Amino acid sequence: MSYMRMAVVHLDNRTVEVVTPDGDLARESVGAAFNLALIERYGADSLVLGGGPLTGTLAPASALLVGSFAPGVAAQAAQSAQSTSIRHVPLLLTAGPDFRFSGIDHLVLLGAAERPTLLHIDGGRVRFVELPKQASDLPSLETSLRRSAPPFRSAILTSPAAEAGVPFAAASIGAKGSLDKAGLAGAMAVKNLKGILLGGSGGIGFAAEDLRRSLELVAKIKGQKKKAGGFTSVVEAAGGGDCLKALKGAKLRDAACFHCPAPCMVHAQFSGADPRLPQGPKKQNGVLLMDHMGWIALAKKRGGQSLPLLREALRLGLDPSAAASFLPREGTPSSDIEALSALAQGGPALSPSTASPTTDPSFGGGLPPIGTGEEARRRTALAFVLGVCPLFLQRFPQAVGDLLAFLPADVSPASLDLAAERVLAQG
Amino acid sequence: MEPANDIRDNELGIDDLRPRRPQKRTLMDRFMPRRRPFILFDPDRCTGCGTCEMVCATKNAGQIAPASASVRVVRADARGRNLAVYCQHCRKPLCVEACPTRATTKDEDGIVRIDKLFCVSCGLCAAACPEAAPLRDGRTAEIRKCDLCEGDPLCVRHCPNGALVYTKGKAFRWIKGLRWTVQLLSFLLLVMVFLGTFCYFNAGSFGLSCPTGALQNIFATGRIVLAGLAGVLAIFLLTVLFSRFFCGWICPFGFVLDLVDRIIPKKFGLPAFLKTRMAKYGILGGAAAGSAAFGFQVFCTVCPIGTLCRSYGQQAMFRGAEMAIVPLLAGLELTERRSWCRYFCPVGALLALFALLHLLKIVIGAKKCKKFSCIQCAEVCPMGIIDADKLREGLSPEIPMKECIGCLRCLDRCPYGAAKIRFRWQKGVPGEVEL
Repeated sequence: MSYMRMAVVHLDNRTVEVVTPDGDLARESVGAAFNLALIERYGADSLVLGGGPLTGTLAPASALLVGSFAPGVAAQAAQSAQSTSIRHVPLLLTAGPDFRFSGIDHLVLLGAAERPTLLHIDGGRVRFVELPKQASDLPSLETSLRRSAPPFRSAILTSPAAEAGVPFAAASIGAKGSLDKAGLAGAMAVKNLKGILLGGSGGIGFAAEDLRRSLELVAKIKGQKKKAGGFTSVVEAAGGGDCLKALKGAKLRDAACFHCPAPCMVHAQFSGADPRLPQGPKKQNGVLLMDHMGWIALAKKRGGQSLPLLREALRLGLDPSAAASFLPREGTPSSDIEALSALAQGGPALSPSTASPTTDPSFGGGLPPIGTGEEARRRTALAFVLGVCPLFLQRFPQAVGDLLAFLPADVSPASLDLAAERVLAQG
Repeated sequence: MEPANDIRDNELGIDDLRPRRPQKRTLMDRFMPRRRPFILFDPDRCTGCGTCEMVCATKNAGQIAPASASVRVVRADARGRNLAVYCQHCRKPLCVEACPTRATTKDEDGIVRIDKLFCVSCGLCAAACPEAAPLRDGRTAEIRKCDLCEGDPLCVRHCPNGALVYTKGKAFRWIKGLRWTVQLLSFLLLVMVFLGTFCYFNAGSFGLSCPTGALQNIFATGRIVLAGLAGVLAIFLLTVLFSRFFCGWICPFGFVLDLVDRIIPKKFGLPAFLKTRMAKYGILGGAAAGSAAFGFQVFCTVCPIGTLCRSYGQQAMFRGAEMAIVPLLAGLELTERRSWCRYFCPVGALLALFALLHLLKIVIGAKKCKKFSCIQCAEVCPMGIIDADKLREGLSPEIPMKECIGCLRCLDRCPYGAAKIRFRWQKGVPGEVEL
């Protein structure tokens, strides 16, 4: 099984190099730590995307793709200006595996494109793709991309809000949102990068025993699932237990990232009229509650109206937590929607009803605080190195040993602790 | 003769190279159809994790490459319901018909397979398949299709939430067993034990009679016999409650038709004007008018139910001509199933009028079922009232309860639990969420 194949994209002159990194570097650093090493090599201007050695493998919850950048990249636009440390933003759902199935393990983006740019990765090649016509929101952008761009399985998109220079824009996987509260969308917007489309038509190898191992580990996790809980437990651990009543009347269905046997997200289906229309018909809408913290922030402020507001925030590419803090104390559904729309356009300036969001930007800022203390932080760093979901590792810490069995032969387990230390120190 | 024609005549066609295997259906298959294996998908359990795609690809391509899998998870955004697209091994697979090289075949074990030796990856099977189940490999451009891993599907074994289940269908269909038992007992009682029971049964001062016979009697004599109306009232109440259950469960002639249907093939069609199903009301009206005109129950002389009860069995009197009526009308089974009940039976017509006040209804949720490849409910419905085309369009068909004989074959057969009994006033169908 081979691991480590990277592409360096020079956005300013639209050229791509696909290279195999140095053996020493590849042996010593993996996952997010390798992202760090690439930022050190290519300069603070670079934006690096990369999975871990377990991303896309038969290891359970192997869904993580990490977007790393130095704060200087997005200083003009993103909230990343708040601190000086390097940011690692977790991108979950299917983005990580599809990234690796596209034939690239790490992607380095250098410079800034002159005009809005779209990248398509597949078969180990990176191509520049023509942009479709301007889209006002993420769902319509994704729809037009599905029609006009080469086939892709997943897409990492920035939003019109980020292009408008809104500091609280969030990158989105398709139109489903993400856990980006550290300015990845702004970093992409500064580089004039509209999105990265992942074709995912290739594959990665696996060891013969991995299928059996996967089956056994999933069975073990299923036995512990009840104790670890799902969406409700994560929300309660994040201090949003009282918000759960805001979901009353909504039809909830478990949703999971790639190969995750213990889903912590739900898809909420709710019915309601479009508040922008004076007497619109009621219709069924749905939203994926992936960003637990974002939804909790909205639910604490607006209760039952949190679902349509979350949907609107994701549609506009806004961080829901920031959107919640910018909503006025009192508001009707239509005024709230208008407020979000105004925020996404970058003006008129809204005075936040509370203090400006003070999200801890480490590890993207969007991970619910399930574990506390240094041990939990180390586990998160290890997840960023391995390429598995950090939430999964927090909920099932005993699975770490089993996960290491899935590591490819060219990754030394001894280097993982070192790599996690580096991520913890610099992330 | 021109040489060109000679050459054309001597050309080999695909039939010569790879003749289509005839579908053998024995008499045993008609009574006890073989249970074919398939994978059942529960969208309520699917979390969209894509494990099925991943493990399928490990077998197909020897790599973790979902693009090479024979199953695809379609993640729905608005409804949040995921859909697994995979081969359903249809009863009558369109892909087999569409394949120009006969590479796709449905084998004896019920599994539809693609023979790689003959497949030219033209993709016509995918175009023909309503589920779009044959998938083009993202890397090699070959067409791939689920072959159930020869009896131990990896996707089912690895699905962490049990959304996929490998099954051969229900081992014992209890509704079917119960219905056949009730039908047999009714037949024995009405035909073999008690002579003429259905037409009129008198127990002391209490009388039961056939509702159509009672109606004709009213028109023939101009008098209403209250004792005779008790039977009509009983059947009326039962019909309001359970629809035309009499036709599906009790009627001895219906039992004979169900047996005949198993034996004789469908050879002929019926004229289009009958499809409105109004003829039976005309016969009912004609029977009433004839009774009024002639002063006796006209239709009863040729009624197949009455004839069966009167002329056969141990106490039967073998009334020569009457005995011919049952086989004559049973011969209508050469056209459609229960064609007598569908288009002609005035007893059924009267019950259909009662059934307009039905309290229960049968609903089929197209969103829950694999409408494209299954449609078993429409196939087993003896009255032909389930609109297969609507199901294919993904719409839940409305079932006209006045035509439904309440046999519950649709409930019994549906492997997806999409057919349910609901109260008349209940809205929504299985698979459609009501918030």
